[in-house]
Amino acid sequence: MQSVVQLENCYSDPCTFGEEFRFAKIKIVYSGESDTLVFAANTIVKGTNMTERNTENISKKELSRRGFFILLSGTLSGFIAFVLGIPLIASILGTVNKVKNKIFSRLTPINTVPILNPVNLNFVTAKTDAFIKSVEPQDAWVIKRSNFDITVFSPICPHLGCRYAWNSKQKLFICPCHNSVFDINGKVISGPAPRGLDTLPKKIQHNELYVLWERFKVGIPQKIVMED
Amino acid sequence: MGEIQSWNTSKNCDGRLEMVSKIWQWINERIPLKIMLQVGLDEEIPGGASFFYTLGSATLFVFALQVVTGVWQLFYYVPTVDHAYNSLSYLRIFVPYGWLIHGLHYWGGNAMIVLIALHMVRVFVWGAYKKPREITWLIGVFLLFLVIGMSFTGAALPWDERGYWAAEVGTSIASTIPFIGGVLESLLRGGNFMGQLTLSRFFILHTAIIPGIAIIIIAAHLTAFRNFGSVGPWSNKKRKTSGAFWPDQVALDIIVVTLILLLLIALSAFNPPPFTGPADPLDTSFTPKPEWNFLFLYETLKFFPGSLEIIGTVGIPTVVVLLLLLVPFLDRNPEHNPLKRLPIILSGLVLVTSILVLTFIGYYSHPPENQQSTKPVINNLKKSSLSVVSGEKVFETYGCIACHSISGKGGKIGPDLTNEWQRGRSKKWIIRQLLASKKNYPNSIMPPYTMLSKKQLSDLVDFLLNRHAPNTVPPVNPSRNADTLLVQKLNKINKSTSKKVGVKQVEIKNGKKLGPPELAAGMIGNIAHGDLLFLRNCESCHGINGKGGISNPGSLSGEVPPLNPIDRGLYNKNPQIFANNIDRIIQHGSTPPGTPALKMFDYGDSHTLTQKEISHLEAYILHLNGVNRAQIETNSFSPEQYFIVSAIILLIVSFLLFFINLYKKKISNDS
Repeated sequence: MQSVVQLENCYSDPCTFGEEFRFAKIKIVYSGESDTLVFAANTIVKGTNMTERNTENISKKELSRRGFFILLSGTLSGFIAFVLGIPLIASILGTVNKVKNKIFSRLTPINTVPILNPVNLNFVTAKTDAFIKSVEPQDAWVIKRSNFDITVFSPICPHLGCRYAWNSKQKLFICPCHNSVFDINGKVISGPAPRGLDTLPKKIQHNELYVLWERFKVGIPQKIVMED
Repeated sequence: MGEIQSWNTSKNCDGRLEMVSKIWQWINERIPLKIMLQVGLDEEIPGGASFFYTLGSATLFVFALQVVTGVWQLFYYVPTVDHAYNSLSYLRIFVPYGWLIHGLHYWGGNAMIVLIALHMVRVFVWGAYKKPREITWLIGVFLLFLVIGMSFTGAALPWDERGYWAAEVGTSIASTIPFIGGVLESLLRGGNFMGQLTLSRFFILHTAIIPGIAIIIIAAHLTAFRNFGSVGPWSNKKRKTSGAFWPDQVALDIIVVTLILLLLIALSAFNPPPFTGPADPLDTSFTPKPEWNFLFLYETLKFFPGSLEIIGTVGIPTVVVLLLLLVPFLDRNPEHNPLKRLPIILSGLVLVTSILVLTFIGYYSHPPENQQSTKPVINNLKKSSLSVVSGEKVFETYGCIACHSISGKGGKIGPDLTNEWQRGRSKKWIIRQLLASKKNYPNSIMPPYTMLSKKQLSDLVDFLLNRHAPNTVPPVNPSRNADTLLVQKLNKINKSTSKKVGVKQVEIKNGKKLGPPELAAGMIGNIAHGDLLFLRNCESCHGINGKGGISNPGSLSGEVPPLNPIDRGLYNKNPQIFANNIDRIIQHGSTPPGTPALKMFDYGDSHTLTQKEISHLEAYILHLNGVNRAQIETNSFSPEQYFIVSAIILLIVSFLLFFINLYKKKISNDS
């Protein structure tokens, strides 16, 4: 048998990994053979490193089977990477749903609030940071005109977030940071504040005043609630 | 064999090939990737690839899955006793696919034990532990112990009822080991009692020490395996053929691994790990039962009562461990055919069968009933007169039964009245107690029953002084029985009245007081546990399953509000908001409009129930109203949808592969 071997074609694996790669499948034609035989070269084909196994003759059918196994392994690995990858990425990149359940905090019995004399009152709000729940002290300014007409102001200046105070002599709210001045209704009298004092949602039940703690964006004319 | 004449690199191997080849060469000159790949993939398998040989690879895959999902859980999980349970609940409910990451880890842990067991059986039957693979077997057995250790320490990390009690029992078992037991127990617990240090130690064992050792040992196991190769089939005829690890065996491995992953996703979606509620060391109603993989030991313990217990806790496990370690040294005959090694195969079969049988017995066994029927019949004694019968009716319909029990039926807030007839109290004294309890007991919280007519009072007293069947129900919780409860309640009332005299409790229109929701509202309770607590604390007023129907004289509605269905003002389809709404009432109590005889107690404020117990009750009440407290709240696919989508993708991929295979076969046949 004449021993001339001719390489007809190479397969996609050597294209990807290089001709020396062990997966290289080289089609070699033995002259004198009626059937075409194919080598599966497992290690270095070029040169003399071929072991006995590497030079084992494998029919074309067998090579096709191996090719299919490689395709199958690759596809199923892709599937595994896909069904695991999506949850792993989504769990750290995706948005976590938050339950929006605003709970009013009890502030004070309304009959204890003096008429037309703003008072700063403390209360506690329930705070949830991921899975950690805690209570946070807050305060608010309460202005009572009558038992049915009560306003609650957020204690934060709408200019740049400082805490303002009531000046009982001048009957004005004055922010110490940049001298924004507001009247008893929260209207801007002077200073850089872009809007009046922010009111907090409130409700009166059984003669008790309840307030919902909210924070608003500062430095802009619109009153926009900041979400957690 | 001829000489290769020419390389055809023209067709689909253009310049790209040369470039890639150069890079590949450059890399290999610096790190031997090629050799690494060869070591990893180049192996001849005597007898060819087989699905039997996939078990080891499958175990390795699940281990890798455990590492990834385990690390991922650490983005959210916090190993402290006060946050562990809530942080895990947060991951499972609010984080996108958190349910899957936790579910895969939970079921992956179970799958690993099953796969290791199957892998060991395979190795055992094939005789693959024989020379020169004895140490490979020993390393494997050691890996099994490490996995059992991870299973034990991992179960405690959620710090839920099940994990807590399993750790409590497990560390107690460790303490029975002679000589070192005490040290071992305090080493594991970080002290004499279970607590934060226990959780920290279990955490570090589970996430660092054991997996760290496991990774090294796995590397040794794999190196030894690669060195000696697969043992192959025992029949010489089959051994004549051979197959390659890559790609034949790898393809089979990946098929099995894909199916296992799909199964794990299905289990996570359709049978998620239960929410057993936060660990409550005070809880006496939870009956711990070990995880299925420890059930055989749990059953074995039952055969050795009393002082013999140590045989079950230490003796038998030691024998099993020794047997496993000694397998390669007991069976040194080089024969691999199982039919020619019958004695050792049969011994193995006996061991496996006994473990399986004990596991099944353990699975279907019920812990000894420590609760007798909670509803003994009151009417089992002869009624002495008609007045007693109508007195009983008054007792049941005017709310007495809500607080007082007779013959085991009724509430636990007030004293048990079963033995009232023996206390020698006069009819006059009892009537005074009913109308103005404070005259008898200045600190009494019992409401005045002035709405009762003279006849009703008289009948009621006749009933109370009648002889009742003895109370057959043991006190539910000795540490918090009615007397302690009453004392707590009285202390609290005294305290609050001394501080804020004249301050009325604030109520809103449906009777709820607007105190904030407490910790319980943020915990995911257990429904079955809530059912039990409901039976003990709530049913006497709110009726069986919260259906209501118990009268509340003096209140506007005339009866205690039913909880099933609950007031629409409290209901919300969002479980967190629903829980917040009812939590405020359970915590702080409420008084219904009118002048009711009964009002809702402040179970939280008075510490009548722990926050954990309240969380169970809330889960149960939500469940009664068709809301799942543990409802997953993410914007992504629901668990069921995710499984279906994955399964459909896999089906499509499989069909494609199938047709490609057909097509390839056709092409090769044609040529």
